[in-house]
Amino acid sequence: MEFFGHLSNAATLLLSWETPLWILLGLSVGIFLGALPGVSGVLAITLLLGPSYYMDPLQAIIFFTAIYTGSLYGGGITAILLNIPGTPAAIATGFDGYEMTKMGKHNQALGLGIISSAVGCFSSYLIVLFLFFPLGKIVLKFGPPEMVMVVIFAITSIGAVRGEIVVSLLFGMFGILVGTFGSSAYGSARGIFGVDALYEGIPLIPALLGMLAVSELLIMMERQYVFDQSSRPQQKLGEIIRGIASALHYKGVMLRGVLVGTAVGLMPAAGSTIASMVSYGMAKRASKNPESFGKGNPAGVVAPETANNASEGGAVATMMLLGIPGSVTTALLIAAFMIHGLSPGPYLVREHLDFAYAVILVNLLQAAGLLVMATLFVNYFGRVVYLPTGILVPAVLILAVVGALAPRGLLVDVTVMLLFAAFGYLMKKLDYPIMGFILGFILGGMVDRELIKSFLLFEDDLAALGNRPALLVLSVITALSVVWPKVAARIKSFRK
Amino acid sequence: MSKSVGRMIFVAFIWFFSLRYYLECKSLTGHTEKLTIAAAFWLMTVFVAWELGGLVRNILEEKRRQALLNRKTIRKVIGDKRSHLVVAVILYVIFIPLTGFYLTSFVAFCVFSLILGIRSPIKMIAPAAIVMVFIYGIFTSLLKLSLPAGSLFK
Repeated sequence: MEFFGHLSNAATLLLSWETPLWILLGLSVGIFLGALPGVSGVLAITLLLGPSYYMDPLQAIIFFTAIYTGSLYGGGITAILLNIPGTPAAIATGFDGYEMTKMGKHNQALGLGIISSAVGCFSSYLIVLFLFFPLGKIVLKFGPPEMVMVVIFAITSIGAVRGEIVVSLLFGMFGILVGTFGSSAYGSARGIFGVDALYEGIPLIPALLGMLAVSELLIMMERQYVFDQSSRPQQKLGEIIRGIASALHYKGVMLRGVLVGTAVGLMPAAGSTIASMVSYGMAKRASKNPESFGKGNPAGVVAPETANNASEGGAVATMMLLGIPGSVTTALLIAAFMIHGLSPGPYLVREHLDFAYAVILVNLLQAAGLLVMATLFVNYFGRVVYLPTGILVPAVLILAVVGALAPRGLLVDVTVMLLFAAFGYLMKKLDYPIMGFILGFILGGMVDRELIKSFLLFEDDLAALGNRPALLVLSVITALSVVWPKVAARIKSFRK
Repeated sequence: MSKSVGRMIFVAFIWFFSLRYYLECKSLTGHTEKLTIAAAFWLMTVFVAWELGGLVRNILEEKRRQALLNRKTIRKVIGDKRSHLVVAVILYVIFIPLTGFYLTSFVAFCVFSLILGIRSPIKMIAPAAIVMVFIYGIFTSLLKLSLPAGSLFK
């Protein structure tokens, strides 16, 4: 009964004429920018984090999650039409999607992409809707030591996924250090370099804008156009709708995609790219005709597109329950929650459970919105790649400056943005994992607080930490995530 | 410059930066307020040592090492449009408090476009004007965001 009470409160929160407006706006921005290779919804969310200060918290989160949903789908449009995935999560979509385009079946591929994304998004949030309450009860038992361990686990998971645990931990620790800049819990100034404006810490929005948006522009400007191509495949609405209807033949592939996507999304740091790749691999293995994959098999579009959108529900659930991100986009969502005074994790579950349910419910509506918007406007969204960078780069750069100035109107924030842009650019150029740093940076303040609390609680009785089963389980999982990749590689080489 | 050398310089730089921060925090009076910094710094030092060890090994294995910084590289950096854009962005940020956000941004937009290869004045000015009108409409009129007006015009 308690569950239904929260659901009805959440539904009441959503009863506003502005809700569908922010959904549609967010989806449009997300699909449009999701189609832009290397930029995706990350750029839109970072640019709009500053102005979102002036929005109602729920509307801001609705807007950002709609951008997230839209960008996950948008990446697949250019993967199908041009074989350039807008986001890494759409790489697997291009394997068969582009082959279908070459065979003249691009409208069917686009239709399958739309329905798979909408079904993936809807089903994963439906699963999350029922899992959130029991999982939330477990999370509420987490104390300060568990929260510190959760952050360490998240950083090691990024390393395990990338195969570079040492550098992930290195930059994760550096991120934690930078995240502690500003006043300490006792009011002492730390790492402010004589700049009073940094007393509250490194401002989150300008730093993220620099690292994620501005640094990307320096990479983007190496090209004259995002994509140069004179021949553009023609899209027809009727054929796209027939493509949507043809998804009925791939119900099993879709169901598997939903389950894989949601499960992978729930894991910290795994994200939509892994979900789509795993789903593609499973669809190929389960197929009666595996050799047709990579040669224009429609199931090769359905499997990754369902899974990458399904991963969103899982990732958002983990983000709200534990306060740890599964990807850069969810890291930005954490920032969006934080600038509105909502701290994801046990605090959100305890104090704002209705709000969390409202976020889940609104995403069910977003899936329906995605189906309609994508079907009607897919023709226009794919055109973003033909924009000249000579116009795109200056426009984004100036919007980034506005975004940095928005929260406090201080010019020092623009300087912070530029410094982080240089740092982010160097990290990307040197192939270092930017996500490890961002995670440490965003959660640095929280780690500081929780570590101090843990120290004060267990200073005189460290052995009591051994009586906390959740901490022990988390420690074992963290240790395994460090050791397992090496052990697995050894086993593999031994078998060979 | 090889990637390993670049990585080594980068990692060494962030370690020295962290060391400076750690030493600054050592003077704090409360022992718990430097707890996280000490823990993160020493853990990071272990990983830095590990990473640097691997990088040194990589560098030694490279048979033909390129010169770290020769004239060609300097000329390439000076002639690169990314360097021009970086200089333009720095000048843009310096000029915002003097000439105000809108005028500086309009001029900066045109300069950025020029650096990025746009030669037609219409293609430079029209998007700049559209972006300025958009920012004014959304951020100044709707969201009431106060952007720097410029000390020269006050």
